[in-house]
Amino acid sequence: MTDVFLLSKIQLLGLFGINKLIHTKDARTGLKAMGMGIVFLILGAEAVFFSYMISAGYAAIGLVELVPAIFLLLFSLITLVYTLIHSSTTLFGFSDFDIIMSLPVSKSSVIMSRLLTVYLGNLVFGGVVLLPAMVVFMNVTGSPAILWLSVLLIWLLAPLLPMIVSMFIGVVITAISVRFRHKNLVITLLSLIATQGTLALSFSIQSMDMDLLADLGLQLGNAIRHLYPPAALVTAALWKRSALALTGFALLSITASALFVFLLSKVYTNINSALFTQHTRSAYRVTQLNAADPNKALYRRELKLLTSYPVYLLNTCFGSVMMVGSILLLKVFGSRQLSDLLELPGLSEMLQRMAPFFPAIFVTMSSTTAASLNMEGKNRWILNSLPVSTKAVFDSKIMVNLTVLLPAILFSSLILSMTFPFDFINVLMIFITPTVYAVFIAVVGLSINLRFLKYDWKSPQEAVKQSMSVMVTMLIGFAAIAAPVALGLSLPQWNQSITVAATLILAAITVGLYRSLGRFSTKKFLG
Amino acid sequence: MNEILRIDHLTKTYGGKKAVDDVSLTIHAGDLFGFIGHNGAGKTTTLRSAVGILDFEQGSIMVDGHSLEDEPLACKQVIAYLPDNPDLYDYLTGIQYLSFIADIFRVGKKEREERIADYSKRLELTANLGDLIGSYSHGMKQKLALISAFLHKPRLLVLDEPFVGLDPSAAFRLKEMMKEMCDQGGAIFFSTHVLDVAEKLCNRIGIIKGGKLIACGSTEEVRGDSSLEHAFLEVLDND
Repeated sequence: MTDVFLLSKIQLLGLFGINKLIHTKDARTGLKAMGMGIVFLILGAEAVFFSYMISAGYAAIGLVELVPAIFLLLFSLITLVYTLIHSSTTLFGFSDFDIIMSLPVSKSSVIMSRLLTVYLGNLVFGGVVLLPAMVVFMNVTGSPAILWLSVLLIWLLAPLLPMIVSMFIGVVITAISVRFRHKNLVITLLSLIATQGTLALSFSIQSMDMDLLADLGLQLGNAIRHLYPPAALVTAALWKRSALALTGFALLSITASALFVFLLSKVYTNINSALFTQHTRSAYRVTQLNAADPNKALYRRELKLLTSYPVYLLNTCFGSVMMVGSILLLKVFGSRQLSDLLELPGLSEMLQRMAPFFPAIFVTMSSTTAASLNMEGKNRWILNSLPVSTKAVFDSKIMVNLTVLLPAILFSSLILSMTFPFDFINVLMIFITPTVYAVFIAVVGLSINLRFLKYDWKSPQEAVKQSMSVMVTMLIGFAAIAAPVALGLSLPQWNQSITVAATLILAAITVGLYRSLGRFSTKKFLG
Repeated sequence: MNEILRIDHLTKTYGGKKAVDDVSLTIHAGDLFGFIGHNGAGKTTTLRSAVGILDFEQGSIMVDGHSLEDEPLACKQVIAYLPDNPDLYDYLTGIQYLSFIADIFRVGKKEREERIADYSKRLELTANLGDLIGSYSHGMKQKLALISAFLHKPRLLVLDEPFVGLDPSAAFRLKEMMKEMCDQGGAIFFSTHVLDVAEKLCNRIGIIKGGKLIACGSTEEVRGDSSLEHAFLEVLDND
């Protein structure tokens, strides 16, 4: 266990630049970390608030018995999706693999240390989703204080099962992909299918909940216990105070995790070796080569960068895929059903009145630029020593972001404009507004990344997922959507004017931000 | 003689410590300038400053008549830089990387085909150019980075420990290519720990210690009557 602790410690010190923060003398780094901490606290507080309010709502309609099961299921789904996105890069292909594996530590220690980092992240999720619900449960049921020990144990164990399921899917995806020459592409595709599948499952579960909620109580409880049997054990452990059920849940979680670590350790080196082994032909002959201008060369390189890291591609292009998927769902099911399916109560109304903002919601989730400078990592010396201007580098990054978004916007806007009987201005705005949001999010992503650079990553996951810039960009994108939509919905007679005004304002902000990017020199962002 | 690189009173500080302290040197067309010194003496910092990667507090750098501070792109257009441990794009194939560099430096179609064919043949890398850089050994990456450095026929080649990781045959070819470049009017500024190579290859030598340039001149002037190794140790001891 000492090895696991030491290996985990090294990883955790790198997490969110904690070690750098401890040892830095730079005041700006400290301020950035403080800003990051505040953002996390706000997000955490929001999650605690929602979790508390929803579980209090369930309690108010007499369903307090179901609160632990519902929230365990919800938390498990979050963990499933979160871990699935990370699974392939957490366990395999990390840059310090050679160093770590050359140390006198067992494979299971390495695996456990990698899992521990993800586990701690999920535990935090659990703290803000599961624990507030448990507080409601304990208060409403007037449970004795000793039951808090059970709650604590459930919280500590809850991430294990969904994590192991996700990691198992990740291992299967990686094991399949290593057989291919373009393994990164295969990993991306399979991960996308798995993530979409998980999301579809969670949507169907949520819609089932809403239907069953009409019958109140028993059926819902049975459905959850049927879908996720461990929920039955947790309910029994807390509602019936069954020590046997609690022991069963603990044994199930720990045994599944131990079995996973044991089995994976048997094939761990093989999969990693296959992942690091490149398919080489070694039969190149210099024949005819094509020439391109520097801007095109930068664009091609940037596109290759995006498509070469599954975690980068998956996380930043997810919005585009969701946009197309949602528009297709809208076409098939209609706005009312989609509203129920996505659990967005105002969606149907918004689609009628503020349609141009619907594709824009997904646009704001797809900023490739927010991590694009981070992704340069150790290679940044190349761009830095080349005779290319900062503007040319930035433009290539913005163009790649638009390449990801514009085809999806065009397709979605076309379908959307054919689905509802809009007037000419509305149809026009359905195309223009999301396009302006696309340029906006690309420029904002870059501006934010310039302020929160992270070059010293060990795996691309750190550059993408543990980056302050990605989070801040998403928050800004969300605010840029929420403000005009809220205004439009509260002033229905001004819908169209608000849409046009918001688009123009955003376009003006984008132009201003783009110009301000010119102030940065290559040394500032690549040095 | 044409001045290719002029460094005037360069000072670079890291957290209060002077990594490079008031260094001045000039490199002319045809010069093969060897930069030697202990680990941490300030060699890499000087090289990185000279190619515009690092900001510096004091001094000025001119490359082929252009100020590095005022006209960085004009300077970089005539420079090629090779770091001591070049991290290349693992996700590109060798030929994709070379095409990228050639596009950036606007090397014509015909010239790039000829040069890539020539340099890759000399460094025995042709067969591997279609493979991903991620599959390359350290030495192969070094060879690819060298080809990319020579590809646009730079006026000034700045190399940080270029011989590390090269096999004897590639090291020999590299020395040939370096001499050819200088014969054709280019200049090379490179750091090395291999004093024997510096002595045989360079016409000028600079010795740096604790960020200060403590000796600089023709190879003959610096080594005097002894070998460069003796002269190097003597200069360091006396300083």
